[in-house]
Amino acid sequence: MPEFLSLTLGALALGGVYALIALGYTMVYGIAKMLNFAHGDIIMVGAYSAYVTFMMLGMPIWLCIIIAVVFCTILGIVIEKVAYKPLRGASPLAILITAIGVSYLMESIVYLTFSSAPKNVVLFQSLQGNPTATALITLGVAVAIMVGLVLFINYTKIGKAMRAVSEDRGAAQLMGINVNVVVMITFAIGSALAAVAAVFWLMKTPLVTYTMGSLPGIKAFSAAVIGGIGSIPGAMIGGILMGLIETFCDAVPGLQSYTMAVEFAVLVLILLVRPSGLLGKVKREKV
Amino acid sequence: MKNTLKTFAASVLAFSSVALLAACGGKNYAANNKAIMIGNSGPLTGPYAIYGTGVKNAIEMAVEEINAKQTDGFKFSYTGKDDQGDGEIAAQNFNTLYESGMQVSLGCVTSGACVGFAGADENNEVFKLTPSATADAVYKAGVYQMCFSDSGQGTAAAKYVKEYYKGKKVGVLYNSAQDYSKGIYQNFAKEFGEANITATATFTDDATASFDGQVTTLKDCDVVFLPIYYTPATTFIRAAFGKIADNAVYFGADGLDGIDGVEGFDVNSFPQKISMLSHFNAASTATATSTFVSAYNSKYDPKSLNQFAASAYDCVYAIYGMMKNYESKGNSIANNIAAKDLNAILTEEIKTYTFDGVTGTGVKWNADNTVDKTPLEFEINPNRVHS
Repeated sequence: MPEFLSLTLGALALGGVYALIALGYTMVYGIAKMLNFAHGDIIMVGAYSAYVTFMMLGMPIWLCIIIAVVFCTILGIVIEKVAYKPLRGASPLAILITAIGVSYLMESIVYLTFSSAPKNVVLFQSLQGNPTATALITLGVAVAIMVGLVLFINYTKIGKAMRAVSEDRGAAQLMGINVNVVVMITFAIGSALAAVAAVFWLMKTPLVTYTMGSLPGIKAFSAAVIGGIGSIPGAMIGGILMGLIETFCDAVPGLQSYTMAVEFAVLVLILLVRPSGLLGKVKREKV
Repeated sequence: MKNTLKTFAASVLAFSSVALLAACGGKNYAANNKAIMIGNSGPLTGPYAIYGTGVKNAIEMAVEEINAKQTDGFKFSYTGKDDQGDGEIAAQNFNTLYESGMQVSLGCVTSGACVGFAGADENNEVFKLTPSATADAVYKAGVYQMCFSDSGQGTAAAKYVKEYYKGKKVGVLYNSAQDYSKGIYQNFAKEFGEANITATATFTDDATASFDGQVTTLKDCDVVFLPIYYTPATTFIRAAFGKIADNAVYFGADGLDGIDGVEGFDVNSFPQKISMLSHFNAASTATATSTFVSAYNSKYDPKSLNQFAASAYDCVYAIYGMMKNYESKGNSIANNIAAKDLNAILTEEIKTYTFDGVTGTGVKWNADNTVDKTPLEFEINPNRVHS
């Protein structure tokens, strides 16, 4: 296979995973108006769930994926109820710090339970050394989820309620929308997406450690911002852009040490030109 | 009368302070020793206990063997202390050992502890030869090394690759944001010649998700030197599967030690040879090695046998060899020789000494206390699949 094509496929697979993670960030931000910095660690928990079910208990892959999704969804709801709901009226800074606290809490619990020894969880042995299939499956699932989310938000009752809460929480509440339920469902969807992202992450890189969530978390968050945070197609575009930049910088020997610098420089440049991201809504402030 | 009392008091005071000062100048705690006491400190409990236990067993074994040989003249005795790999405990251990008559020392098993141990020897009175503390701070603290120093690994690896993989295309992958990895790479490049390296790839985070780009850079290499930790190495080796030639060699430094223990990563499922720089191979057929290995395994738990133990065994024999060299020049060494006198003898002897042992032959020491010996390549996946 020509080198360029092979690299592009690898980049698209990585970008697809970033897109899946970014979708979770952008959903929660768009509706609940908060940055869930613990999102990366939910991916990590999803990966450990796969480790326990697949490697320790030897369950079939489909069951492992379902368990990971269910477990992360419940975890997301619990985190929202325990850590974020009591802070509904607090300043955004307090919520942000709480999210960071939740992130460290999860890392510490996993560290104490499973030790710091790295593990390799290979869910799809047959995909090893097959970049075409990996890229197509990852991208396909990411696009399908993106389309599904757009349809869900635009054409269902709950989706409508979500948009209303996003637009004006106070007014939505006055119209009889249960804001707490809407935010809870948002977190549930975001966490389920994190579990799906964990599965695809393992398909690309089967390395499982208790800190594995932080770096992809930051990159996917940047992807969400590049695409315009709150915008679902934007998260997709941002994620794929991030994957392309990372892979192609890594392929240039002199640039490899600066890959992350380039990734975040692109973020800064895009924000300088378009402060609300590529597909972000420009808000007009009325004075 | 009053004056006499004062004079008496003053003279007592003066006398006792002179005695005190004399004690500070180096007391021969070994005056009553019936054998030359070797002391060391190492982790016998805690997470690194496996290293300290092997070292302790090997020293005991070497001491027994030497004492059986020494029908007349000096004998050895051995006292080991537990430091759990901690520098402060190791410093206390030095003082305890010194005051109980330690005359020569194998330092500590781990690097941090070894620096603490050497620091407690303020006047540098005791000769120290460590089997396994690799950090550069160790030899800089005045401790001789039987193992390669961290920076020495790069040089040794380059020499090895130059000789055994002559004419092959050599690539390097290292973490440019990590002192350990970058340090070994720089020494490797200096010895090997930067121009002779076919391709160099870098990364900046051990949690890097995708090595696709780096694999592209290195895909035509026959030998890839990997001075990185085993965690990113697993990711790289997977990413290179099917892209770097099946008969390529991945050659790492001691950071690769443990890659065969990563759950879910079967080193033998990859066609490429995964190996690391070492100075001991338990499966070696060399006489010195096989004799040591079978003697050790019949006496102790074979699980505790590792390169640390082999190196400790060599340390005792190297000290013994240097003492015999000194005696062959018409001198004799008494069992109650003061630590600092023995230190002076050994420091002089080591300059010209050449040692043959389990972890190397023709071993010499450089002026900066580091060791000069031929490295071995230890194959991690001898049962790999061949395609």
